[in-house]
Amino acid sequence: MGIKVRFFGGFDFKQADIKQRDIAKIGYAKGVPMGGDLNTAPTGKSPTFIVAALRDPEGANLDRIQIVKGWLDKQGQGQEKVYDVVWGGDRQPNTNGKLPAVGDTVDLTIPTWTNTIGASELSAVWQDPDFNTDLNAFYYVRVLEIPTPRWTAYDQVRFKLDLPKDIPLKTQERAYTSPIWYNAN
Amino acid sequence: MSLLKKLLHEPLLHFLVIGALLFVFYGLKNEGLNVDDKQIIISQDDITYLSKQWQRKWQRPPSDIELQSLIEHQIREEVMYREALVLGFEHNDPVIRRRLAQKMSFIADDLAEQIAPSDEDLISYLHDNKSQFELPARLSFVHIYFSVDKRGAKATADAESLLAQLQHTEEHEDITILGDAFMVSQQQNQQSEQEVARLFGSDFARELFEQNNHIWQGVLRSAYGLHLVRIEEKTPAKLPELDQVKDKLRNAWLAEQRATMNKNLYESFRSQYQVIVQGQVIENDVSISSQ
Repeated sequence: MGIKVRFFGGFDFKQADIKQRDIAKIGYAKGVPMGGDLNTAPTGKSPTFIVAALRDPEGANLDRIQIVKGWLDKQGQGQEKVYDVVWGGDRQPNTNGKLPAVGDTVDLTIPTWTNTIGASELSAVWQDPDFNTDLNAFYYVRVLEIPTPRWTAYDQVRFKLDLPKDIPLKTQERAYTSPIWYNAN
Repeated sequence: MSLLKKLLHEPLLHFLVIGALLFVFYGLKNEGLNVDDKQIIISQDDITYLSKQWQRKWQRPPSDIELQSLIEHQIREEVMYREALVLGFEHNDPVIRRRLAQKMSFIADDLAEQIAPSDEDLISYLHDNKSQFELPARLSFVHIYFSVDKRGAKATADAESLLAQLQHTEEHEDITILGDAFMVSQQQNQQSEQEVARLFGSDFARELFEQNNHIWQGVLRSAYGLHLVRIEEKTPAKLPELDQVKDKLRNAWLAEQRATMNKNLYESFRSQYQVIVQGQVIENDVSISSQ
């Protein structure tokens, strides 16, 4: 039960690796699993990651997989950047590089949703486009489901409630992985 | 023997015996402590007891100062306790009422602990509560996945044509190259229906567990897409051996005994009372909790 996620990091993952039958096999062969360490990048190489997610068998389809990168800037302040890595449907990022929302099938009167948007499974190989060999960093994965009714929506229907406007009735459930750490030296 | 057994199950008798024992025990323990007098005697035994209690809590004996304050505390409690009794504070206090009522059910609990079930008792308990202890049926199977996301409307036809092909070949093919890649392993070993449901969805699990033939079958629909399946081994549901579940059985059996003892004890007391609720006499209602 729940969303299944696999996440590996290394310096040699290729786009073709995603076609491998067994992601764990290629993942362990060419890299480290979530929670693992990548040390000093070989000259001219940036970290590559292979990630795959499968939705909960009874749950909602997947909207997208994101990789979140974190590091400390020159002032010692924590910085984070979120990269959309792979997503369901025929969406294209707009000119600002922002991926449009997946849509919304939630019917609040029942409440329910349909798995007619998003995808059952998503997988990708991704390379850090902003890599700095000398900077420590972490990378973790976030998998978003399509919007589903929040628990408040179920209560609203079951108990026939008139809820205040500021109570959220929909949510996008998500799965997180442990990070993979890049150690500059 | 049967009379003894019957007596052993008579809660009122238990209650009387335990009550008498408690009376004697506390009588002996409080010897020399005369509640009627304005005199408090702390004996060497009392001090040893306080000291041991401290040691159990802190893993070391109390220092002289600590022991002194323990004794002070004990004296203070005794004084306040006696003055509270003089003022009748034990009456009409909901906390004390609840505690006293609770102590009565502890008696029944303690009695139940004294009875050790025989293997025969446990076996018959096991048979009376099959659903609680039954080991679920387990399946070992392989499956080939067809992604509806990837193949669209073609998925069913693709699955059916591969099924026809597989059913007409004698030897086992290398299935790891058939169908589409899938994050759930193609080989599943000794999975219960619940475990299969967790991986593929409950409709798929139910349908799979209805199959018996060890040939390629399909097309089964899971939460993700279409599957061809071949059952390799089916272990039917069965009751566990006594040794496998003895501790669990004993606990469940004892819990049942405790509940019965409590119920009987309560009913034997309850039957001595006439209860009137809003002018109506309420008959002894067995459904009222013994707590």
